[in-house]
Amino acid sequence: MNRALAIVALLALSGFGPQEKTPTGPGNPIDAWFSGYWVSKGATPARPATDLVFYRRVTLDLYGRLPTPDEIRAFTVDKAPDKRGKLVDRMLLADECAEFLSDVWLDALIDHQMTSQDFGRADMGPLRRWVRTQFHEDVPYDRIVRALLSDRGSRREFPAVNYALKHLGGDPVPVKLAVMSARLFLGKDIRCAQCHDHPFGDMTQQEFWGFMEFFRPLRNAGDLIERKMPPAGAKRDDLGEMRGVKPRFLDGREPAPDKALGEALADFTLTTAEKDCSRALIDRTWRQLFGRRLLSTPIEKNLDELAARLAIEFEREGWSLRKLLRMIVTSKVYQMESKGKEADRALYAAGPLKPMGPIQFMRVFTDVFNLHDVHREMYQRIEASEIAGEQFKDPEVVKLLFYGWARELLLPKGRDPEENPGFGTPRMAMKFMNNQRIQSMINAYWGPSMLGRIMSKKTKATERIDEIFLSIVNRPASRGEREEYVDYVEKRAGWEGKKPYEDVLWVLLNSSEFLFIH
Amino acid sequence: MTDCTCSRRGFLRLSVAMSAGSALAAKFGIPLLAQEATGPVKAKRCIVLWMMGAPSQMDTWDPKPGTETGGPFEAIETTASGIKIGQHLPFTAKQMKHLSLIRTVNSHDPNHDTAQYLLHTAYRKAADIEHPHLGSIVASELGMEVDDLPPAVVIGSAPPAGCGYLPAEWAPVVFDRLADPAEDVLPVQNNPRERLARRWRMLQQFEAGFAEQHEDKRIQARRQACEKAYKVLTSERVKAFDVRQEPLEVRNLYGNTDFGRACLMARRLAESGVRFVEVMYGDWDTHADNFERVKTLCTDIDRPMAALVEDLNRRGMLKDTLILWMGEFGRTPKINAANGRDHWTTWSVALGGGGIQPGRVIGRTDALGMSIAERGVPVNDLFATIYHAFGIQTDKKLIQVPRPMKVIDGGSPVRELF
Repeated sequence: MNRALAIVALLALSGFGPQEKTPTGPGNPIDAWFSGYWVSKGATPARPATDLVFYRRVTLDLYGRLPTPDEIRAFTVDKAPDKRGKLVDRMLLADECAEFLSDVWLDALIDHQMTSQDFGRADMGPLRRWVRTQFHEDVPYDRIVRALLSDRGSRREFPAVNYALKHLGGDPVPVKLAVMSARLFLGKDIRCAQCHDHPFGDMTQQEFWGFMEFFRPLRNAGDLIERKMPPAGAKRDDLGEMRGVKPRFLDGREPAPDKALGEALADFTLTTAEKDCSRALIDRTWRQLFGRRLLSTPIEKNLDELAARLAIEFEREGWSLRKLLRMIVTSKVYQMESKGKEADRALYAAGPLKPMGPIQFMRVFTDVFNLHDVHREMYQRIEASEIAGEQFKDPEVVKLLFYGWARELLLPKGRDPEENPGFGTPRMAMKFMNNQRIQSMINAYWGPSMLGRIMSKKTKATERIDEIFLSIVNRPASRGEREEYVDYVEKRAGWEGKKPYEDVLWVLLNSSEFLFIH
Repeated sequence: MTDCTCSRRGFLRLSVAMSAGSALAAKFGIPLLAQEATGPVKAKRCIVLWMMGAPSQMDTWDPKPGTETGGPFEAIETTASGIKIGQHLPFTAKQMKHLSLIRTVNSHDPNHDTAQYLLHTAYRKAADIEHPHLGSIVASELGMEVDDLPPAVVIGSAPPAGCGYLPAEWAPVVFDRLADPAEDVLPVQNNPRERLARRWRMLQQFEAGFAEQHEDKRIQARRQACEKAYKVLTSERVKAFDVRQEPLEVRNLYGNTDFGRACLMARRLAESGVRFVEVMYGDWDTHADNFERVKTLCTDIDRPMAALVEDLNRRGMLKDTLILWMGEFGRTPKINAANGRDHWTTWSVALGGGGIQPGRVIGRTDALGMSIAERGVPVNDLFATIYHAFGIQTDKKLIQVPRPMKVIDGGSPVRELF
């Protein structure tokens, strides 16, 4: 048996054989909470995910990309009992993790879209760099929120102000900024109360406009400034505007007269009785990892009690994002097998399952089709271009444009990504099944392509099939699949050469197993 | 249908069906009911030629030659008596007998992004809700004509709105590379359809295992999206995307340019059962060097647009195909220091077919084009006119939650056009 086959055999064993001991334990507050929850619901939790499944899941969730076959091999042959915990620790400290997670967070800050006007309104390069540094240095989340809500001044010197500048459009009152801030930092959807008392919640229209007063003086004058007087010629907003209301936070607190409004807003946001700011972050992080909300909505009951418990833990641990992520991804519930029925998943008796988000998808797409050079050339072209606006000459910004492209493939335009999972549009399906350029990138005869590299690195049909499987769905082919596909490529080799391998890659790239994080 | 509309009980039954959901209502024949409410219905499909960046009305549909704002261009006679248009639209001038103009469309929004949204949805961009694209509403209200082509298609660029709060099936399918819009759908070189069919069979087999093990609505929905895509790719009708199948004479009529081919594709798609096609073109944002640029842009669009009108008419399709030529706003009559024109919120829209009376001019700007002298047409009236042509009731509530949203919020059709 040659060495490659030995590795394949080893992989198959470690992937589908007996499980390692779970590295999680009763010390993890999430595990402690779920052990009671499952008993109360009479649910039986699924078995732990295999190393292969776990490794794919955690790489997509923390690095936003697929693991490479070499990484998978190294991880699966590692026999250390606490290798999952060590892996998570290593990943959480990596630049790659900070870059990916900060981009996901930035995407929420910009409300998942950048129009050409938005690029004029805010300086996205400094904001993206700033958010990344916060994640990289694990700056306490309360400090990040404070900067976003209370910084004022130069968009270059205080990059956090670009968050507000992005949402300060031509509207007479900055409703968008208030709505976004309530959603991001308090986990509250206050939109209905702009025009009338909230039909489900307990918020009145008066309270909405009291909250608005914290944002009303903000102006986008290139930099973020405060001005008491309304803009010249400002018309009354047509949607429910109330004027002359005193600034009042959502829980009724009023700012001291000598306190700057931004500071007061940050103080209130970070100190609500229900720990709303922490709970909102935990809910967002949970949604990112499990594809489901942790907090209840008016139409859906969720695990608010767990969220409250985690909020206490999060604040006790110094508002550390890194520790929060560690707690979740090392928990038993995160590391479970995701196979199961919808009803199992509703009780968290099956592990997480969700489609890749646009940022993951774009990164995976770039890797699979080896587009790094193409993108680099594109940056250079934009940099040298005389007609491209200054803001686009920053590679930080160009990347955001790529993410926008991916989003529109995954989710029909006009659908709110906060409320709808983007699992792929018919247009995306057509593109992946049939687009000429994409088809040319799955060319087995083109050296630099992923398939081209596999073809020159591996010579036997079994090895090639397994390597294609490892690269795309990050597991070796099952016995049945291996037999079927090896038979397929060998039978056709006589007159089709390497082309049948393209068919195998095509199948995997168009599969749900590829697109979903499971 | 007769039962439903003629007897009181039938009418009640229909009302219940309508409030029960648009799918049911469509089944009971909303267009016919709308016809009774709003007069004769002609339009069954729509082609929009969207001029990105806001074209200058002064140098196209509302010329003021010889005045201080008129610029260097002349106005030329057209086949519609009494209507003169800019000199760089000579082909269109010959087809003017089929078209009408609204010269006083107006709004309050001089910003590209939000105005493009407004002129695609009839709504101001809001913080809390995304409104549907005009094409999504036309397609969803009229229903699918065929199920193996998308109900609405946008060619050339990403549109500013999508399906909004309507079901995702009504989202316009976007083919955003004007140079090669059919790249996603036409058979790939060296990869015949048999290969696609074989790959598809292999995929179905591969998918079954994962989908069975992971029961999930999102996975099911994704597989349905793929099935829909496959249906289009393998349909006979997909040839509608292939303009090379058109006789040379017709291809020459539209001209051998990206925009020309896109207009021809629009006609082929409309003919094959796509309810709504939009072709997006330009950069009409001529703050500098307006006249040279408008001359080039007019030359780009003139022959294809004229060909589209002529071709539709020749095929007898013009009577039930509404054509619209529009942009997000207009440009200043005053010429700036860079020989350009800036943003201006009164402008012209050209429209024809689909029951629109040809050869009419609605509204008049003053001698210098500086103000509306007669009959302003606000954006909502323009949309009311478009929907009226299709017999779509504009006060119909498309959704109730999170709040009731009408097709448009107010506005009356321009009756003089019908």
